[in-house]
Amino acid sequence: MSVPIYDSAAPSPSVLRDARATWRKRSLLRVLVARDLAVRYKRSVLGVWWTLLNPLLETAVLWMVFSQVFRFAVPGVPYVVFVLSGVLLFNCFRQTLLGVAASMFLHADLLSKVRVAPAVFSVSTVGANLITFGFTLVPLALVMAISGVAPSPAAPLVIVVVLLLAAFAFGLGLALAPIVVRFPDTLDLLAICVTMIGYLAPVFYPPDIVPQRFQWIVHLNPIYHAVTLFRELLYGHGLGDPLSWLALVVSAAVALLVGHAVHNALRRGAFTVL
Amino acid sequence: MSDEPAIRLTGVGVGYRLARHGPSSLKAFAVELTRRHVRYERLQALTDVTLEVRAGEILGVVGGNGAGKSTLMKAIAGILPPTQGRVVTHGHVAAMIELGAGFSPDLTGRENIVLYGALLGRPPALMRARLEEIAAWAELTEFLDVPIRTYSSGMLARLAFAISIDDSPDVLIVDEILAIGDAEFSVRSGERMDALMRGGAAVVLVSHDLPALAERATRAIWLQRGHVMLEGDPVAVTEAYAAARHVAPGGEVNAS
Repeated sequence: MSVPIYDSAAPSPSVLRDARATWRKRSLLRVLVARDLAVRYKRSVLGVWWTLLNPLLETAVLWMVFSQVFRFAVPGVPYVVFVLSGVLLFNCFRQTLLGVAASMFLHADLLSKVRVAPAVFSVSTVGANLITFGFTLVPLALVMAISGVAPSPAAPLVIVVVLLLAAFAFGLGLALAPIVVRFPDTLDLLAICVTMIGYLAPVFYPPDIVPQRFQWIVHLNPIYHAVTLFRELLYGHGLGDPLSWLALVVSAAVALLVGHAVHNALRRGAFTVL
Repeated sequence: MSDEPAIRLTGVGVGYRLARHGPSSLKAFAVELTRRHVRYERLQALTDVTLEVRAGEILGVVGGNGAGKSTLMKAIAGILPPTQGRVVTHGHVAAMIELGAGFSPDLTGRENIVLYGALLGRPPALMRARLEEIAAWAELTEFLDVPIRTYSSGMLARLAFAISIDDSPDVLIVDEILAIGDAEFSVRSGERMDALMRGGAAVVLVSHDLPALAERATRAIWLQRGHVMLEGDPVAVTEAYAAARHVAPGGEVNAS
């Protein structure tokens, strides 16, 4: 094994080198993800079962609100399935973005005492959120079964959509993380922005209720493409619009590259401002 | 490792930007920015520090509060990137500064040993193998499966110490020769620390206990206001520092 060398004057590593370094730290990441999940559910009496019950209860609330109170006519599929698939995916995006943005701030004390790359906590937040999202697929499958909606043969491909959306959220969060250390109220503003993005995407309303002249705004939103692809693959008939795939891949790649660059530029200064 | 010293600092300076009157929220910052009001005070914690520590050497560091000792330790540990100059270290670095940061109160002792070790850069598999021994050393075997929020502060300190000391670093940074726990444990931890320091690593030892430092260090520096005032034989440096402290009892060279 080579001797680890720390050189403060070394230039910031490229995305690829950082990705490789992160991969080498996967055993640490596994421990951190396990900690995130354990801390999240350890305090509850039900323990691990809470991971299943929590999305189930959330689903019940959503089902109440959106099938009894609000009602939109959605072609081809019961509204509950439509809204649930959208809201669960959007919640995953929301939690990943907010979690990554807060990750450095939440570990500020630790980061000023132990030498760990701040990005380690961002990556582990994404991991924990993806696992939690995996659990929420169980109640979604249940609701689909009850509503008599058959999953599409292409359903396993939703994993790709979720990963791309998570990468998009990760990139954005990475750029914001050092800013949140300096200005914690950025998180509040971010939460408002994310809610706005959510309303601008057809998460709980059908896309065609948006007037034609505003459709382009909807189409600029990566969330629109993610949600549309997710639904198409889950219970639709095709493999999704290639343009939506392209939009999602490009958004994720750009977010990762820009997020990485901004993070590296701001990271050094984040802890020397008192 | 060839001729390269384990620790090399060249012209290292660390400046903090002090936003004492500045905004601490994004909204305020935006408002101030439009009024062109954003100002920072600079606080130079460390200025032009050049030093080398080779494997087997113990560099003692003395200085009053606010002299830059903590900043120096964090710069060498790679926690704080220097704003001027360059820090290079070779090998696995262990910094025994403010132990226990990174513990998760809701997790058990067992889980925290693996977690804390992993954060310090040690493989989780290794930590799992060493777990029982670490717990035994900290005298916490029977509390291993209890969430550590139920631990006393003494128990936490013992656990953190036992995990940190279970290591064979190439670069070791020590903040005070810690006296932890009761008399018996304190003696044991002191001995363990001495053994670790004499284990061939390049050691930086910061301490207010001047006789203890003079006895252990092979070389010493005296820091004042971020500058290296004196470097050389530990006895000579500690004596010079002690003499200066007596001359100016109210000044900032006054050790706490």
